[in-house]
Amino acid sequence: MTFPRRTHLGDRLGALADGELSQPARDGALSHIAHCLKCRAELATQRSVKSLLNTAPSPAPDDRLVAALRTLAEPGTPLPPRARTTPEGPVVPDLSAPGRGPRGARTDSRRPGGRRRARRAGVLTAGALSAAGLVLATAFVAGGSSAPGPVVPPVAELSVEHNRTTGGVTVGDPATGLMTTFDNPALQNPTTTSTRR
Amino acid sequence: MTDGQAFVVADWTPPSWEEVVRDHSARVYRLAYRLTGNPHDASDLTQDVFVRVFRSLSTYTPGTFEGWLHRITTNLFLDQVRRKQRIRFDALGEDAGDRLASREPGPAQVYDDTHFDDDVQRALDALPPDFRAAVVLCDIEGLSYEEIAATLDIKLGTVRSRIHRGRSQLRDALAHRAPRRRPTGELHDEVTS
Repeated sequence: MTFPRRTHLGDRLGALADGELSQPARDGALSHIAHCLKCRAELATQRSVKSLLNTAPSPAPDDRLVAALRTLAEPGTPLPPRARTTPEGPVVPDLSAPGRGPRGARTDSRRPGGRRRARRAGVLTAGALSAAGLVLATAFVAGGSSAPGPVVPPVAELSVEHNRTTGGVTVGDPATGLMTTFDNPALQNPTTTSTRR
Repeated sequence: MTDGQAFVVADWTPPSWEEVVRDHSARVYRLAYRLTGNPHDASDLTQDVFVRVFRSLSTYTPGTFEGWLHRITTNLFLDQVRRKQRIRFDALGEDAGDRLASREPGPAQVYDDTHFDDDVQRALDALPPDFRAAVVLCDIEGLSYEEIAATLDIKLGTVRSRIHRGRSQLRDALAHRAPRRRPTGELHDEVTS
């Protein structure tokens, strides 16, 4: 090679192939390439790999996955009740408990209410079911993505847990229920809340 | 995109969840697939991403939805890779290195072979995850270096280096599996330094 190594373009070749060099840098790179076989070859490599990736087929999600994604926004959608092992023994959540109206009962069941409910459910669940939560979290980490099985949207799952945690006392949206408790002097001694702590 | 920003912000209404899933699930899945290398992990990652999106939709500011999805997907992927690596090394003990070094095709890869251009995907799988993310975002998702830097929270120079070196490694992997794909003929050996 007639060109010393330090003049080679190195990772600027990738940027050149991507059109990511400034005009002066590009001009300099091109004039170098006019004389340097090594850099010219590497530029061709960068371009051919880029075009190979660019034309690779686009894998598409299957219908089951897309359907599962849709159900994330539907905390009221009944999941099949699953027996859960807790310190008190196996528990099957009661999906017919109050606070879980039929799907479509709320006019806009999709987003704001659903989100608030899910988040509130997460907070309550974290406090009340820390032991079970720890077991679940560990299982998730250890099992990772290698565990086969049906897709279970966690948001909906939190709602189920919330329902079980409150024992069905909550009526309507749990968020508004709690706010009413705080605002109403007649309910300043919320036994259900204190026992949960 | 920037010239109409003010108008877009003033006029913006949050998309329905149905629209979010319809418009973005294919993109997220494609990215997840190319990052994870198999349909099973890609499905898991896609779901994790949408759970995250669903929870954070209220705090989302309009104009960067695609960028936001890219960021969530790659960050979740890299987090999971790091966590799995830790667990594997903990679980396998002393011979972990040997076992990780062997690249026997697992069930996922066998499945994959029947569905996609496995040469390309396997070459991607062999890249270090940080390099893979940069190359995939650039060459498959078509992001600019600046967008990649923002997505991965790294410097422009790091983006440039990862993409260049990532492609060089891909070339090596693909040249080994499919010699006819060599782009530069007799110059090839000279390039390898």
